[in-house]
Amino acid sequence: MLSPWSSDWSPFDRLRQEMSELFGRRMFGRGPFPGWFERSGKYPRVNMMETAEALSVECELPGVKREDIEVSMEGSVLRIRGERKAPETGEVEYHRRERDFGPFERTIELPVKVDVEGVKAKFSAGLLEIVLPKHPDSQPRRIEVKVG
Amino acid sequence: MAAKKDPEEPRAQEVETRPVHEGQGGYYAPLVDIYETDQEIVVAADMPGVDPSGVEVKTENGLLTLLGRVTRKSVKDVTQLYEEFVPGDYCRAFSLDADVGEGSVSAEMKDGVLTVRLRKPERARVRRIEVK
Repeated sequence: MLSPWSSDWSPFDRLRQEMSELFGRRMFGRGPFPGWFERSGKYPRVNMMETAEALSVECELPGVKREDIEVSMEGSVLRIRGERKAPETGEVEYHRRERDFGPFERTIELPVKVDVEGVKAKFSAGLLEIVLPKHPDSQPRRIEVKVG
Repeated sequence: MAAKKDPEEPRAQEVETRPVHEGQGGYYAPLVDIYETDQEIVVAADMPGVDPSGVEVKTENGLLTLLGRVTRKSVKDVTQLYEEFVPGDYCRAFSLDADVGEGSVSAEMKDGVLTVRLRKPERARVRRIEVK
């Protein structure tokens, strides 16, 4: 779903995402052309939901350690950054290598103002969940209609 | 000197040959790494959102099946703004050489990664012989 206010999700990004679905994984994350993926890393997949009280962001980060994840807020931008390190295997013989390792980063322009102090992040079973309570200014407010 | 197995012939032949996203109602095939040491074959599968209680690993008639169920949260009054991934259960199967299937199997689920270790039975293990 395209979100017009999102600086992170231009039509080119969407095309790139779809192309990386087709090619990226089968090429072990290197992509079919040199420089296909940005040098700074890959984009983990993100879901964003909204309730009356909060925004909620989920991100799949299997095999990443909690200490290798950094979540930060800069103004209205949420940044998820980190690295998936390959496990220590020593001398082994690979029969199949599909998983990808290395640094990753996503920035997400938030559509509403949030209460930065109340943002909470939880990481469990390889899933990062960030709950961003809406700033009081962003919450729906009922305005009482008085009979005049 | 240990005999090296030709990498072109994987010992764990796959039943499905490529990851397929079937979306809701079907299963996702998790991405895997498969590697071999002198003692065992290791299959590591990415299954984010799956807890140890949601895992099923079976070896049956030369088939290794990995199943991971995602713990779903109930969501009410929620508007989806972006949806780049749809949560779903994972399943993938591999056929095994007879000698690998006979050894012991262990599995660990941690941080969304399922790691299955298949110990090779005695006769298939590579024994390094010290040359004096």
